Amino acid sequence: MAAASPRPSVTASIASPRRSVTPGRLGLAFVLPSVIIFCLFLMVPVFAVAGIAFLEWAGFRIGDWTFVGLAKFQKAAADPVFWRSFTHTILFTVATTVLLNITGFLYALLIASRVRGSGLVKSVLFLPVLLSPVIVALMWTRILDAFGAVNQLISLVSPTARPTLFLGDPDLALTSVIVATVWQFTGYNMLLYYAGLQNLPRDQLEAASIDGAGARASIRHVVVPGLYPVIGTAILLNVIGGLRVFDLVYVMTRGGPNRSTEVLATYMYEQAFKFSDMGYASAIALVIVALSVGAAVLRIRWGSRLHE
Amino acid sequence: MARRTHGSTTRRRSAFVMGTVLVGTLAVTPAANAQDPIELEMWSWNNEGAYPLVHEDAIVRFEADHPGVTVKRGQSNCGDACGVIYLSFTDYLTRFRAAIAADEPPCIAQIPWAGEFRDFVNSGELIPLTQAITTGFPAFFEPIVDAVSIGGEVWAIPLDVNTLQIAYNKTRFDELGLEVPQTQGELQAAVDALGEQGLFGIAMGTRDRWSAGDLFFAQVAYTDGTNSKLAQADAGEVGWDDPAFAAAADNVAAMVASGIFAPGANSMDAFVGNLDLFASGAAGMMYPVGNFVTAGVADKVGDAFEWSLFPFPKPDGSTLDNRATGGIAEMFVVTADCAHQEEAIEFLRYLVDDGGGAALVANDFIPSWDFPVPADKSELYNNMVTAQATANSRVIYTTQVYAELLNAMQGVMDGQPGSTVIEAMVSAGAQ
Repeated sequence: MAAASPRPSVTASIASPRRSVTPGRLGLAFVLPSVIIFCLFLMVPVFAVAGIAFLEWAGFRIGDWTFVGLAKFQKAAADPVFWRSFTHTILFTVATTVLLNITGFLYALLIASRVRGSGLVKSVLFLPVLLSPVIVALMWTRILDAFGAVNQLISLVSPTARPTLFLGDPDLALTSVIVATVWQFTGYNMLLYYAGLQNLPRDQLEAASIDGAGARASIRHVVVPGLYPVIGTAILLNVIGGLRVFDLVYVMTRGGPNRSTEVLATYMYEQAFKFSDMGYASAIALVIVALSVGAAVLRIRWGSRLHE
Repeated sequence: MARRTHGSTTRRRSAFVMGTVLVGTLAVTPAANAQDPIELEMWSWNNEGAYPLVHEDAIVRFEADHPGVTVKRGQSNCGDACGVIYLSFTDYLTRFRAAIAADEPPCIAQIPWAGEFRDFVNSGELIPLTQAITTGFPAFFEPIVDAVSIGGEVWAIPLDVNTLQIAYNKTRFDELGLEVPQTQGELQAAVDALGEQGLFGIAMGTRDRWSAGDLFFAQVAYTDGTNSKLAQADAGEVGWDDPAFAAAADNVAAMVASGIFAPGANSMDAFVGNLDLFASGAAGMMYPVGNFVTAGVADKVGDAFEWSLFPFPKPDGSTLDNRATGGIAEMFVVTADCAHQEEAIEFLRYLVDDGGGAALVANDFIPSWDFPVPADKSELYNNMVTAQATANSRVIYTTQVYAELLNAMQGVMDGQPGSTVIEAMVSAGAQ
């Protein structure tokens, strides 16, 4: 008798009007914890920052603020240090994005070609990604200082040369930070491209080969177009990472010498925690958010065009 | 129905029991609080050198005299030098602000003597100590009391003072027949003589900026013979483009151009790279050095050579006596949200009583009040105490101006003209 009465299926119970648990609601229930965490720890702070940007607030007492409208944005517009920081941020972002993608792609090709030792190269290149940027910054500070490894190598070639002061020279300091950043994160881009290369359709590559395409032509006309979605994602991640860079700059140069490596995030930190101007710091933070959102929108539009 | 009645009875009993517990707790709490031990929290960033010994000395004497009141230690297994809670200066102020915002600040906190001090006073988060300082505290040096006073109120207790001078390799100077330079012309001659031996002149580390500012203040000590213009500029009574400041910045720029300083200052932190240069003998001098780092210099130099200090020499033609710059080294505030302000102030009395003074002197610090120097103190210590008597100010309280001074001075160390310093200070002062 019991065997004769079939047990209701899971689908049926979900669809059951008595319980009224639709797949949509179930899905919502699953994502709700993430949505709550996202709102609490991301959206609320972002909106709070947006609000604080219109206040004169020293950051000591929650209720101790004055509404100043757009004054903080006007201050930014007239502040030469803000514009220097802005320029350095854009320079840093563009340089690191270009270099990370070129080196990441080349290393991925090297590994995908499965030449001898490519597995070791993959591990070694990815290792810096696992390190804290603070450790990387301290390490590069030592490597680049007057008695560091780079200057010792230079002295081997040119024993009479005076040490090159990479982090003390305004013309070299930003470049030095860019080099350290690229060194740390190349492995990350390499991994993205390597994953993309694994998913490329083999038949297209074989067809190109049969049609007589050489390695360069195959890369240009088959591999690169096939990697467009990966390229878009990698660029977006690098751009956002570049726009909000703080730790490497702060530890290596503290924005100096004479603000030659000051970026938006370090200037924002100075305004907030040295000058107690939370309103201005929030206005700078909003500029970083706006630039990041702008980059994401461009990425989405580019992605849509690829699909059309 | 019977079950519901039983449930209601149970809930009523529970409510009665909970109510009784609550009333009992409220009745007992005040008495219990009165007997609760008090733990004071004190923050400092000076865990290097002998400061923890000085702090610990005061803690031990204070706790012995005040049973039930303790000072929280930040570390364990630290023998006789546990001291208080030490935080890295890099994020000290960030954490202090966060603690204030969270209504959980330490009762006592070390505070920088520069612009941040004024910002914290203006925030209303500190208590004035004007009344307290009249009872049980020593008579602090008058300029030092001025330095911790804002708006006619005293806001901090100054523990000790320091001077900033040039350390020089006495052994090497003697070998080359060099006297201690009395003017910048003589300083140049000494640097040239060192250069002929393949040595650098003055090693500086300005990557962390502050010492570049002190180079400027060392010149202001001469270009402003009144020792008052920095304070006047802070108060808006003279401009940041005052001729005294312009001449000071130009002096530094001229010295950079003439090779007085070892190259690479902007790539070295103070007391790291420049100390290496000095201790290795590659540079004949090092700036700035005061009692806060003499122990570190002595450790690093060891027996390699003899060294001593002299004030930054005056510009050629100046009729002023040579003088160091200086000011307060450690100073402490009591926070407005501290639940035990009286106990906190009482602890500060122990830091600066006779025992505190003796601990400071024993560890080569200079108390911020007149305190007898034992006959067995070193020549170096006596040198610093003498220099203290005529030390000029090294403080700009307007935070933005001070910050831009430091940035622009890094530029000067890189060969920029002195006028860039004045432009930066004027621009920051206008904000």
